[in-house]
Parts: sequence; C-alpha cells; structure tokens
Amino acid sequence: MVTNAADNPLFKHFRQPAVYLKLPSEGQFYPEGTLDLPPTGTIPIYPMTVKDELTLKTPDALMNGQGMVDVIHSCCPNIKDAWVMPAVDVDAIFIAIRLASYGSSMDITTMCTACTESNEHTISLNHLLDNLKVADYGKPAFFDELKFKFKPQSYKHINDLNIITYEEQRLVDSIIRNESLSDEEKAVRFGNSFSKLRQMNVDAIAVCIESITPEGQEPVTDRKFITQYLENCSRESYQAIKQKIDDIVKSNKLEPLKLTCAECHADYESSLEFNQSNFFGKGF
Amino acid sequence: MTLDNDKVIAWLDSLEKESKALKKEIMQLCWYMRGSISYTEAMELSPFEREIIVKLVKDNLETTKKSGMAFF
Repeated sequence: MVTNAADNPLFKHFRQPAVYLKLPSEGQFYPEGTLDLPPTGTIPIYPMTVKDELTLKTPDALMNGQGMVDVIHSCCPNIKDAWVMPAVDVDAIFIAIRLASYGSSMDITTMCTACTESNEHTISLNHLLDNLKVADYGKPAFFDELKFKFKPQSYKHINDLNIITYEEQRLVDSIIRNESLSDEEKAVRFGNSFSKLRQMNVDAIAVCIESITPEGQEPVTDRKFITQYLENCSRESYQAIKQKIDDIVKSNKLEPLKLTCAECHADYESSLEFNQSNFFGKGF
Repeated sequence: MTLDNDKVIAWLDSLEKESKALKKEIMQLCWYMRGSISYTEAMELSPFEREIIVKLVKDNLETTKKSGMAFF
C-alpha cells in the first residue's frame, strides 16, 4: 500500500534536500497534476541514494530511460511524472541532482582540438546552473499565413527519439555489413530505413508545435492534423518551421566550455555531455 | 548511443563492476557499523552520508590500532 511520506513517524529522519532549483520552465508545459510547484517557485532536490546510484548502473534501465525517470522521481519528489517533463528542464535537473549528490565541483576530461592532448579540468556546477539559458517558447511565428505556437518536447519524446535513432543506426550498420544481400535488396532496406527516419523527423517537429492558427479561425492543436500539415506543406515552409524550432532548442543549450590546453596552451571549446555514464558515474 | 560494439561491451562491464563495488562497500559499511545500520537503511544513504560513515569507521580502526585493543 502506498502511504503519504509525511504521515510516516520516521519522516523527519528521511534525507534532506541539498539544493532548491528554480525550474527553467517555471512550471510551464507540465500537464496538470504532474508537478507540485511550491509558492517559492523552487523545487527541492535530494541527493541520490545508493539505490538510485545502482539504478544508474543498470544497463536496461538506462537504455529504456526508466532508470533516469526513477532517479528523478526519487531526487525531485515534486515532479510526479518525469516522462512528461519538458526538455527545457532536463539539463537543469540533471545538474542539480549531480550537485546535490556529489557537491558543486565536477572533474571532466576533454581533448584539445589543436594537439589532441587530454586535459583534466574541474568545473563548477553552481556556475553552470546560474548560466543556464532559458528558451523563449512564448513568441509565436508566422509562416504560410499561419500563426505557430511552439512548446518543448517532453522527456519521453527525447527518449523515444534516442531509442529509434539507435535502432535505426544499428539496422543501417547491419545492412552495410551483410554481404549476402544484393545491391537491390540493400537499396530497398535503406529506403525503408530512411523513410522511417524521415517520419521520425516530422514527428519530432510536430511534438514541438502547440498550435497552428489559420487567419480568422480557431487554433488547430490536434497532433494528427499538425503532422498531416507538415507532411504536405511546401519545402520552404517546412524548412522555416524546422529552423525556428532548431533556433529555440539551441538557445536553451549550455554554452560550450572555454578551455586552455595545459600542453600547447591553445584555447579550445568543449561541450558538456549529460549522459548517465559520465555525468552520474563518478563521485568523489 | 553511438558507441561501437566493443565500447558498448566495455561500458556494460564497467557498469557491472561499479555496481558490485558499490554493493560490497555497503555490505562492509554495515559490517563495520556492527549492525547499527541495516542493509536497507544503508541503501537509502546519500554519497556524503556514506563518506562520513566511512571516515568514522577508518578513524575508529586507527584508534583501535593505536590503542592496541583487539579488533574483529
């Protein structure tokens, strides 16, 4: 039976929040009942437990995304359903969980782009959190005499996309390596694979469109209609919409780290990756 | 997601090793705490709490060594 934690007489002995995070989304884009946002506008972040750390070392749970979702539920109990969490909050939440669990310093290894020497650096996660940019989804765009309103992808969409991309990549590799297939058969299989990837790209754009409003009419919010529009609009409109979404997503990304090589003293940039193996795998 | 097969296998091996090492650390921690922390409770500890307990155990071992008392 699930009981409310606050009713448990041992509640005050539970772990304490280590960080309070102001969500970049400010609580927008969460479906009703999936986020409990306190009046302060900040949510408590708890350090990972041993159980959480073990979850992040379970390959299947990492592959299907459930492991990360379980850890978010454990460390950010105010987020009731991490699958529907908007993409704009993902980086901030990962950084905050890392910070709450292992402290604000994080050692990273990067490769100098000039001399390929490996360099060790210590970065401040507090600094990263303070400098997170917030994408502006509020401003509508106009293409094709239509008004477009945008929204971020959910964590579930990002995860599904990663899985499909991985599977398609494996499929393409297996077609290339399969010597028993004739060139014609390979061409057919490549065609099927690329068709799936094309559909995936359309779906990825469709989930970022909240509504399309024709002049003087009601906004269209049905995903089926939006997808159908994207499949049938002009190439120019499609490219313009895609570019607009790419620009919004890019404006939410962390700036690459500006680093100096200890060996050749060249300045170079390196982006910080948020995959579970390098971001949560190392502690003290 | 873009690693080749060998790297994926190496990564899976490293996850398994890390997982076993963590479980061993928790078992040792429970042993040295002489039952005052159960395995279930230890699984709920944060990294900082674990670090504090490990330091406490090390300090106690040092004290025992210096004092020449029997240790089991």
